[in-house]
Amino acid sequence: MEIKYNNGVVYLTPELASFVKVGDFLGVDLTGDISRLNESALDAPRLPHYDRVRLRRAFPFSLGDKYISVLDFEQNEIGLIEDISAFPEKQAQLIRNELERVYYSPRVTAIKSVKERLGYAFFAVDSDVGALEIPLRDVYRSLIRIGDDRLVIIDTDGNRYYIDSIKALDKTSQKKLELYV
Amino acid sequence: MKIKVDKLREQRHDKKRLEKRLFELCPDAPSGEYLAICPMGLSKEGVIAFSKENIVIAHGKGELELLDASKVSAFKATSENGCVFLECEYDGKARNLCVSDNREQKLYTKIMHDLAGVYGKRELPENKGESRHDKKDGICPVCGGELKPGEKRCKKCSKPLKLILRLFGLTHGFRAKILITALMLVIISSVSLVVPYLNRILVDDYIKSGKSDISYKGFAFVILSMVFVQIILNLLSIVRRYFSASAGAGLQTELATKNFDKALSLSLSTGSAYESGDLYTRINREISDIQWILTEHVPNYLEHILKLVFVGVLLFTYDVKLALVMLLPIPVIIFVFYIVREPTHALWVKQRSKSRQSNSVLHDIYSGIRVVKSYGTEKREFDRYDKVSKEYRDIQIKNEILWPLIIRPTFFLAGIGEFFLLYFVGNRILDGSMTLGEMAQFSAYVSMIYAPLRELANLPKLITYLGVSVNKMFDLLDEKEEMKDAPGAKAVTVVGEVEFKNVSFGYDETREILKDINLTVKPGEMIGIVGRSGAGKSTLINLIMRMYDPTSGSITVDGHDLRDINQESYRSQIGVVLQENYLFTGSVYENILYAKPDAGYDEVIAAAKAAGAHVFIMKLPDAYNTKVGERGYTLSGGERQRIAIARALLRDPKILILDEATASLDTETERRVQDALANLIRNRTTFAIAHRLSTLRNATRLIVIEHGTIAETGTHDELMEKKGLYYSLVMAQRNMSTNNKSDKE
Repeated sequence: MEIKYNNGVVYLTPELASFVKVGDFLGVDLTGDISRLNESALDAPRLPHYDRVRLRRAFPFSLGDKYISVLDFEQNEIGLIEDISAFPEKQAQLIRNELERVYYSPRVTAIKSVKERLGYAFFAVDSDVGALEIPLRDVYRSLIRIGDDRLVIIDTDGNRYYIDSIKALDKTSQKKLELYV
Repeated sequence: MKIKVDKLREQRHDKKRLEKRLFELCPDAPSGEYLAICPMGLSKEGVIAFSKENIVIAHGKGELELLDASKVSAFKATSENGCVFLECEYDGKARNLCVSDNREQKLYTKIMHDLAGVYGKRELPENKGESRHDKKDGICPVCGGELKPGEKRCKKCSKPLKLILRLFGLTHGFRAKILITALMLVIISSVSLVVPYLNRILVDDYIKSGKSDISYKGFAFVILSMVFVQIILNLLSIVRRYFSASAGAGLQTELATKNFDKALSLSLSTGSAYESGDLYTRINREISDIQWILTEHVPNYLEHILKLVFVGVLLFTYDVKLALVMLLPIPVIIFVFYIVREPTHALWVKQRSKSRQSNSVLHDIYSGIRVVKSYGTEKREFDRYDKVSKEYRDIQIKNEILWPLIIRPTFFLAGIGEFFLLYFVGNRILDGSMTLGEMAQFSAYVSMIYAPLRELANLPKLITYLGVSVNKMFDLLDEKEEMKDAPGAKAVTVVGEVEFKNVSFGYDETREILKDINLTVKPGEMIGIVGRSGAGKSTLINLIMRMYDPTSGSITVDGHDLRDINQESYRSQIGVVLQENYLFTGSVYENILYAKPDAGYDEVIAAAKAAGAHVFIMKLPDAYNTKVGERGYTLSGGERQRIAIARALLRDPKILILDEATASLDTETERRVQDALANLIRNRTTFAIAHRLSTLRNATRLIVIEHGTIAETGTHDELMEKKGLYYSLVMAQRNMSTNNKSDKE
């Protein structure tokens, strides 16, 4: 694939990087010619092995499994994973698990009730981790639409909850949401 | 149709007439061919004529002055508040040739341009197409009549009724719905006439019939008919509302998009003549007002008027005498309404304009909230708003007091007919020539006439409301587009060669900002534009972007005149990074994507990386999906700047414009942005303005603009060696920075 301005953009392909479990954390081995990767002056020089890396999604809302930034512990970007599924299944699972851990966010499956009190709103919901009560400061700001059908809820503490499909919710939940989105 | 204003001007400028006058005034004036001849303007009588040999000035009878053409150079038309001077340099000294009021501005400018080539040194190329100054012509865009200063349309075309008629001209597409609404109104009005008739039957045939053998079946039938008629009326009303509302909503959208489209198409100069709050109310509020009046009120009034006519006809066929009595007061009422029309009209216009003013003030203050806060002038601004809103309040109170004073007596007059009727009908019943049922029927008809009549008293107010709103809307719609694509303008793939040929430009007719610019830029060159504030740097860039057309001369890109290139295609190949770049409400990703909506994720990341933005974007809470702009995450100036650069990079423009792109950044951030810019500039024709001269170190060539002309060109080293303007600018900056350093120490 031709990339127009790949100034310093490094994609970690399975040939270049293999992800391993190091203790409780995710590590990475860079194989091949890493000196070739040190193009960008702003990033730290890359090492052949990292005991612990951090993952960040470049597009957490729109793309879950694509364009994942792999950073060293000082937040220097080692490279980007273009698509997790390009990696062998075992490694892909490791990456997914790590992402799941970092981006802990329950999936809301139903909205039970919405109460508004003194500028706060409390959403009582069912989620994949059980019943939750989500406190929101400014409802309109706290519900962020992604595309037509998805929704992120950010509560007063900055926790994120996802509704993967508004249309897939039951009618009563949809009616409750309708007032705010 | 010849436009009146043009006729007058033609008459005034008619060469033969003026020549005749010249020889009348001064018979000994040299005969020969005159290139141009014009009235002296303020001195009314005098004439000034230009020939190849002489400039002949006839101040008055017998007062002749001859100027030798060979000593004349540098024509200039300068404008003051209320007048225009045509000046020249004569024998090395400035000389005033003639003065006129502003109506001759165009002529003087034309003479200035026409004669510059004859007397002076400079040859002005033929001006292509319509000059941007033509828009100042005081011509009504609707009827072609003359305009007074500040008017958008002539007085005739601004009359509410005329405008409302024009509004109906914009209803294509909803005409069927409007027609159905009207038809429904006719049916509703005629069906409602049945009710009083049924009432009469009920009273006369059953309740007061005095008969003992009343058919209860018939009785029930009459009652049922009444119910049925009511049901029909309600159903029809629902249908009527559906059609009128959907026509209204359609019209509103149509008008709003039309206005918005217009607002977008206006050039920067006209567009900025409207305050943004004003534009917002025009597009939003005025139009919903129009819709509201058209769907809520106009059908009601139509219904009233129809009922009036139907009932009138019915009454006359039934009993002419009775009808006359009932209708007698109507002319009086109409006359009274006519009298109160003017004062009430004034009341509502005042109230509306105050309300608009208070909105506008609020918007203005809030747009400048940073200035207000930083100057600590909250109190002052509060007072300003307080003042207008109190004025608005006062005018509302006054109107609410005055309105009933006017309207109540009018209502009383309007109701007086009912007393006439009571007296007349009462007499008839007493002498037995009329039944009680008939009286009930007639009373119902009377209220059907008089209730609408009362409502009609509000009509002037509504017409005013509608007129004001429609007026405002057409103001915008009638605005002339200055930068229209020429017919046959084509899309061109730009390589990047830009050439200025004798380009002159001024925002108004007599003050030239750029004079006779000649410049050829090869594809891929980076041109640094340097000069003092107000020298014309930004104007030059505006011309390259084709925000304006040159007054004379031409700008070509790859040999195509800019005016022959389709604007959209041209601008899609230009990238711009300004000092302050606006980020729209949306995610970082969407903001970068703005330049190229079909770009892939990898392209966006690559552009951001090249712009030095990727690293900080990845640190934002939601990385590329983080919301920015109003109500979003706040980015620093340097961050916004790098997003703007990523935006420009993604577009992959052939011509790049950097207008003080790094001026607002600190040195460290600037270094980073400079690195990003170095990526951006590569292989593109770039025009960069910078006050901080060190930022132009990558430029292949520098041009120094001074008083609207190119004073110096060359590389940094060449210009430093020359020790001219550029040298002094660089030295001034170096001194300043060393001074700053020693200050700090």
